[in-house]
Amino acid sequence: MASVALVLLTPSWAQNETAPPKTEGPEIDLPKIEYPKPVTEEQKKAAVNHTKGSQSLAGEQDELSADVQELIEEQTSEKVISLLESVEEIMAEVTGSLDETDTGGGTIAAETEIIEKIFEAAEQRAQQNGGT
Amino acid sequence: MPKDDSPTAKQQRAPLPESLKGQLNTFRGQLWRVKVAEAILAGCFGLLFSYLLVFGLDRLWATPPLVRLTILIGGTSFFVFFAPYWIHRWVFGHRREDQLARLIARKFPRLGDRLLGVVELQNQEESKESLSPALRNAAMRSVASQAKGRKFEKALPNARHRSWSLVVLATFAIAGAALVLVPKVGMNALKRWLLPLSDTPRYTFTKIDPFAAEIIVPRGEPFEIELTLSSDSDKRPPHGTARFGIQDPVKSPLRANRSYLFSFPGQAEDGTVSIQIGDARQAVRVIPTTRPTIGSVSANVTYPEYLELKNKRLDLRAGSMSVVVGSQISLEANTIENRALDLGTLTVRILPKLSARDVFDDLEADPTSPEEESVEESLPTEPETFALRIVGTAMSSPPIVIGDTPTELQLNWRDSYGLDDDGGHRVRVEPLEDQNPTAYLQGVERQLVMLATDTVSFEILTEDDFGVREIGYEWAGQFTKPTDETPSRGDRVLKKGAPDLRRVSERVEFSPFALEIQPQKLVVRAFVKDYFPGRGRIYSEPITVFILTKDEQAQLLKQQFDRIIGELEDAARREQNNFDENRRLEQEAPEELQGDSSQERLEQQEAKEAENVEKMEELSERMEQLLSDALRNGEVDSETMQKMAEAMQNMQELSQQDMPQVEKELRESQDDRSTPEQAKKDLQEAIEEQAKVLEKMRKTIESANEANENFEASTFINRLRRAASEENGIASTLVKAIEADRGVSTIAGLTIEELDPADQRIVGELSMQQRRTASDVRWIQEDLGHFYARTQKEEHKELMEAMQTSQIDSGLEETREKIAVNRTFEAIGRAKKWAAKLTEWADILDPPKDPSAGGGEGEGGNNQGLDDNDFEFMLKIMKMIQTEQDIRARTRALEQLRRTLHLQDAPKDDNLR
Repeated sequence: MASVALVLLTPSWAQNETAPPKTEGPEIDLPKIEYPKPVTEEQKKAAVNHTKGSQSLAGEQDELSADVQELIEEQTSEKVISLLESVEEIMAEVTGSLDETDTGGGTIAAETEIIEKIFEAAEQRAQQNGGT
Repeated sequence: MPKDDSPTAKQQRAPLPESLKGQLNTFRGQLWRVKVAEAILAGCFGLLFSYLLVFGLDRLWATPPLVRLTILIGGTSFFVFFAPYWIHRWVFGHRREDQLARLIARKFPRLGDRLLGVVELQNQEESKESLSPALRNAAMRSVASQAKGRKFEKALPNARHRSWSLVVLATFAIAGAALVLVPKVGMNALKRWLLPLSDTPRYTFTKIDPFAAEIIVPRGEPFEIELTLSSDSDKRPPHGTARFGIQDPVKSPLRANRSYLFSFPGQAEDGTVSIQIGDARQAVRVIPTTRPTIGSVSANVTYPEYLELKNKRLDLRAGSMSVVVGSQISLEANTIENRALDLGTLTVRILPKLSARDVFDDLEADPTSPEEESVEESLPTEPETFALRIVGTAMSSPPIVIGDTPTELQLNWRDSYGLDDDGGHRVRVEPLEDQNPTAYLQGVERQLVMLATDTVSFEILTEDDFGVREIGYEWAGQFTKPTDETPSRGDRVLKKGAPDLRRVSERVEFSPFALEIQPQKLVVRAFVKDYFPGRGRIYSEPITVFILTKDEQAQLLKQQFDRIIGELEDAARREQNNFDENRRLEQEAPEELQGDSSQERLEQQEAKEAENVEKMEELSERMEQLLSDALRNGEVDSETMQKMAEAMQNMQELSQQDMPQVEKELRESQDDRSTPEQAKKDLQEAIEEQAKVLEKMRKTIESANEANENFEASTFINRLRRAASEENGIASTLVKAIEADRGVSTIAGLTIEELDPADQRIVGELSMQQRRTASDVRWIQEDLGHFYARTQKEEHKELMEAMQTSQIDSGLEETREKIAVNRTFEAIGRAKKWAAKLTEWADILDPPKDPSAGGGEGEGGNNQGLDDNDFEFMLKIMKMIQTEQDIRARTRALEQLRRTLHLQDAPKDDNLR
């Protein structure tokens, strides 16, 4: 049955996009995005939509964070717990960013890291079950 | 001996006798007269003769100035040099008696000597002892007496003054006659004689109008020289002759316009044409030169203002070019001969438009076609000609505006030698209409279904022939059932282009969540705008996006699962058939197995197995996608998910390991190198493996069917809840219709005929929706019956009986009738009642969770429980990943929205269809 579960975690659909590899070289200068300020009514309406959407996503992220917390409580492996805790931390960070309507590259990168870490936790759990 | 000039000495001289002295004086006078006359006559002759010489020579040719000057100098030299000399010789040289005596001595020597002696005696001095005055006087008297009677004039040297006089008279007469008889000729000769260096032209009887003494003709091309008789020409010779160098002479008759036209063949070298017309002889220097040929042509294109494009310079290597309608073209050209140009022209010719018939020869003319008329209407207009601006060897035209018809621009030029171009240079300009831009949606199906929380990515590709102004996408929603909500409609500008940006593309993260779009059917399409004034947006082919609610998606997934199971059962049947056939082959003797017919059958079996493997791979992929969608849906219970995952894993193992192994064994059994026994053994192994495959397939089908039953059961819940939701929706729409228009009911209490047309439409649509809901509920009952027959689960039986007892079918129909006749309040009441009932039935299958119940399940602690825990964990993990991916996709869509805020103020075109 565990193998069935592992099948479900095939990267082909569990992880469509992988995070960029971490490099230890000098920091990359990322281009600074100049966000246009809303001027016309149409633009203001779009800006409101963005704010509402971002804060709504923050709520969803927070809910997911609660699910992670619940999952942590069910775990017995220290490594899995550690990974899920770091997931929870990043989720809190993303929730804060989205609540402040920051939908930029940093937030998206953090979301990618969450996906990576959850996947890592799943692999860790599968390995432990397979090994014992 | 020194002279004695003393007075005494002078007194002693003896003068000549008077008679002798007189004779000598007479002789001297005669001599002087004759010789002076001779000198004057010679001078006159020289002048007259030189004049006549010029006169005569001019009749033969145009005497050159130097010759004439020489003649004039020669003529005047008689006066200037000969006459003084002659006078000096004969007058000053013969003024004394002794000189005269010597001259006489030439004719009369004795007398001359005596006269000379006497002359010398008279100068002797008497003081000398040897001189006797008497003897001297006697001698003088004696000589004087001897001379007396002698005619000294006979001693004069040859006197030619008479003959000279005749000659002068003759020449004078001739000159006078010339001046009198042909005064123009005489005066012309006189003028040319007196002023030899002046440019007085030679007078001819045949007079030619002024012409170029040097002409430049095209090298190697025939040329002509035309000379015209002057109106005051005295003679009009009927023919003229001209000759280029030593080539054959060319004749020309006198033409009606008083001209002679000489035609010559093409020449490569310089030369002179000698022309003779009557007494006129002319020469024309001919210099063959290549015509001025074009070196380079370029066009400066000024695009129409609206395109906002910079001017462009095009090299016209070919004789044609294409520009957008409304452009201005200015041609620039250079000649290669490095000769300055004199003038140039540009001829603009409007050409007829090409019709389809001109392009395709096999098209027959249609006399009724309006094209025929338009061709006549668009007959070419008169060409216009413009002067070119010339600078050295370069020429440039004024700007020409290109309309919507093909235009021919023809350059012609002439160089400083007067040579024209060889046919000019033509440029055909094809007008290009500013075409509509195009937009495509790429990377997305024409129809797709998604949840409102999903995000779909696709790319917008746009292209224009000049420049894309902006791109974006629009959507227009449509509810598939009546609702009081307004369908979503909007647009989003994604990117601004530029006047010279022909292709613009942008990736779209389309998120109904980010755009606040509720579940509905959407038509989405990309748009593009170019710079053409008033053109508006051009749209791509639309895609249809069905944004589903979760229960709608669950229904869809159920249908897909049914199809997958059906196809899996088919695959199992085919595998069973293959298995039976393999068994039959197994029964044959080993030797027969390697016979041709058996080999052929084995080959077929292998092919059938390969076909089944392929099908299993496809089913496995579809199952994987189904599982992913079910996970995203979130309303499928974990037990069902587990069964589906088991089925999927089995299908993957079958397609990747088990069935390919059977195929491999079957292939090996056909190996020629194998012994009959080995072949038989390979076949037996294939059969054994295939038996396992069949068993696995059976289990997979079983597992899938179990999952499907669960799925179906869960969809009963969804279907019941959805039917409840439909009834609630109908009720709330009716309530809103009643409360519309500031609380004043617009539909309550009115008959259907009295309703406003818009309300009539709403009522009609609600009636239809009620009919569909009733139909759905009937299907739920029927499906429940079948489902119970298969599963024998009591809860399904109870539910089915409850539904039959409630007579929901007729109840829903009655509700529809109430809606149709606008019994608003009754309809609302009934709809709400049935909504509550349907919800109650859904709760039978899916009881609301009791918060106090806790997690009592799964406490068994057996192995199966451990596996289930693992699966639960994985399921939660997967859901988390899925949810986080959705959040990320929507974050990206929101970010795109934020970055394109400033593009959302463009005026909209109200042509969204």
